[in-house]
Amino acid sequence: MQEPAAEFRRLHLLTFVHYVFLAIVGFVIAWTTSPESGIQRSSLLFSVIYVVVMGPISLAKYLRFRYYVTSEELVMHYGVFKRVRRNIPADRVQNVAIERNFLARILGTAAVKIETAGTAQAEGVLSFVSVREANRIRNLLHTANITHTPEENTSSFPSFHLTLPRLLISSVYQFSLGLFAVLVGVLQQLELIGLTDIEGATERILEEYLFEVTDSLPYMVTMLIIAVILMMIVLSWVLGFVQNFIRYYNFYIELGPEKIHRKYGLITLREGALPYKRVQSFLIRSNPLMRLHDWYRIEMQTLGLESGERGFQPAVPFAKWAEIVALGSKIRPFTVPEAYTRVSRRTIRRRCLRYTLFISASVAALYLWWPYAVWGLTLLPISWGIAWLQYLCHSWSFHDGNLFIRRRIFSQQLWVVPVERLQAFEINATFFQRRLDLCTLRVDTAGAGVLRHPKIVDMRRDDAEILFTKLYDVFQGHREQE
Amino acid sequence: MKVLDPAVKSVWTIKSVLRWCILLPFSATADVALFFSDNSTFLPGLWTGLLIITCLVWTLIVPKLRYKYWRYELREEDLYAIRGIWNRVQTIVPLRRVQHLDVAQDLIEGNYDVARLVVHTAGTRSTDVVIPGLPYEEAVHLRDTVRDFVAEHMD
Repeated sequence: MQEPAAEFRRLHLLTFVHYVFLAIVGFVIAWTTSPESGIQRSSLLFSVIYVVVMGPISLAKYLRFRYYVTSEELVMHYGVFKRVRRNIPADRVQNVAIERNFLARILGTAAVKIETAGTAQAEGVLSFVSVREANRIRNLLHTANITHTPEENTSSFPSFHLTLPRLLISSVYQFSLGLFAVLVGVLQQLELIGLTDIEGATERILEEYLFEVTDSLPYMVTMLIIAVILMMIVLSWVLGFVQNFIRYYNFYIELGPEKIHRKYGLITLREGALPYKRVQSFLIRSNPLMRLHDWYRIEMQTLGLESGERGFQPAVPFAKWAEIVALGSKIRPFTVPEAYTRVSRRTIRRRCLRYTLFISASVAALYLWWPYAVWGLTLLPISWGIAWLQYLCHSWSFHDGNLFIRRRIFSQQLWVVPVERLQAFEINATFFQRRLDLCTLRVDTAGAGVLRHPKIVDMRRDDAEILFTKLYDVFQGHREQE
Repeated sequence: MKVLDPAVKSVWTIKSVLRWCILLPFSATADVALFFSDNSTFLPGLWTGLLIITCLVWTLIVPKLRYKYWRYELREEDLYAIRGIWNRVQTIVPLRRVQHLDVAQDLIEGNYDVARLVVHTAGTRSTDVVIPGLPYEEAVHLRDTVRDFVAEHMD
């Protein structure tokens, strides 16, 4: 063998087990979701074609993927149709994250993700290597590791460990409507192939525990709606509990001298180090119930993020306000402002108008087919109430070089955006806003999400101009200080 | 503040017509289907007609208005732009936040000798601040000025 080739390594052989597993899952889904036998036959055909075509390709992929790691660089050669040779110099590596999901933990493998400063995604991914190899790669690429376990907390650095009782409490506050929707979808699929009988089961449960069947139709409908809502709440609560418990199990964060180290998860174990300069802004989240008991969550908005975290990584998933502020301000200094300024009262008018238009239009459209849709108009006063609450919950403060923005009624957000981290400044005014002399002030940080980003909606035009100038002056003045 | 090159109105007009033409096959298919269906009360060519009228109205109004509201200025430390018909947007991009710069020109723009300056920052939402409809030399000049600023103020 030639000299350099000897250094090259391949991925773990168990990569194939993963491919086979995925293929089986895909096959089972395709098989079970097609009710007609004709479609089943064609899905079988597709599966066969899939295996015939994809089998050799995955084999080629596996054989083509080679890498080697030295203390200077990571070199990857891969690609079947398009051959790629990628070199990542070690000094450009920002973070080496090791992730182990359920399957990987059974098989004893790990995924290594190498992130550099350049892009928002992991640049190098070695999806299947042995755990020992993963650790070797990380050590070679010079990223320090958590050298001790959370239990033997011997370090002098500031840290936070989510203990089991607190994890349980935190899970109690979680709802997951999204997971509920997934569950309903899966159950429907199962019913289609005759594995479950939701309708029958629901009927039985309702009759036995909730109410008696009567002839009165309105009574039945009302009870049914109440029962469905109750079931939805209970189920999404249970699912939210489980999800939160699994995700943040044994959460540990430590603020090292150069990097933030974190380790968490029950089924998928995540572990990684994050340089301080990658943290762009904070998002402190809560909801009315959590607020009542003084519970908050703080997330860091980072650059070069994993897509699964949507740019926001938990710094402390669940803690008292004082703990949040204490740890957060050690990551990036901030002091909490004493007073916030509300946006213009005219925002209520604009929001009311918007909701009224939206609801009336939908009701009018529905009315053509379904006369009962008129009852949808009862949503109007509710939406006006929501507009008013939105006004009450939306305020801002510019304090100590940080812009604080509070938003949302239920999933409350508090943004802490350091001015020196801003990338662009923007004032937007739609047609309606211009009529009311209002505007929206947006700021952009590196790697901020498209949907979730800091903005102040419906400020008075003059106030916005003043704040805009002030933010910009502080931003530019910052450079002179440096 | 500076205005764009008036030639950009022609560029936008052509692009607007082309963009509406994408819908043409769909409307034509719908019309043909309606023509051959039995109990149709619709006029023949209704959808295509509607499409053409919308396209004309849109193309006559929007490029002119967009041109009217576009203003930009390269200031000492930042790039300042105001634009938008319905949603008026006012953006400041500090020059020291500029990651890289493109001068872009497609076939239609090339025909009218205008170009776009695309300013990339590390931010996600308003990452690309695009100034369209600059005379080509002006775009290159702007790019070089910003580039020199960035090079000078590198830490």
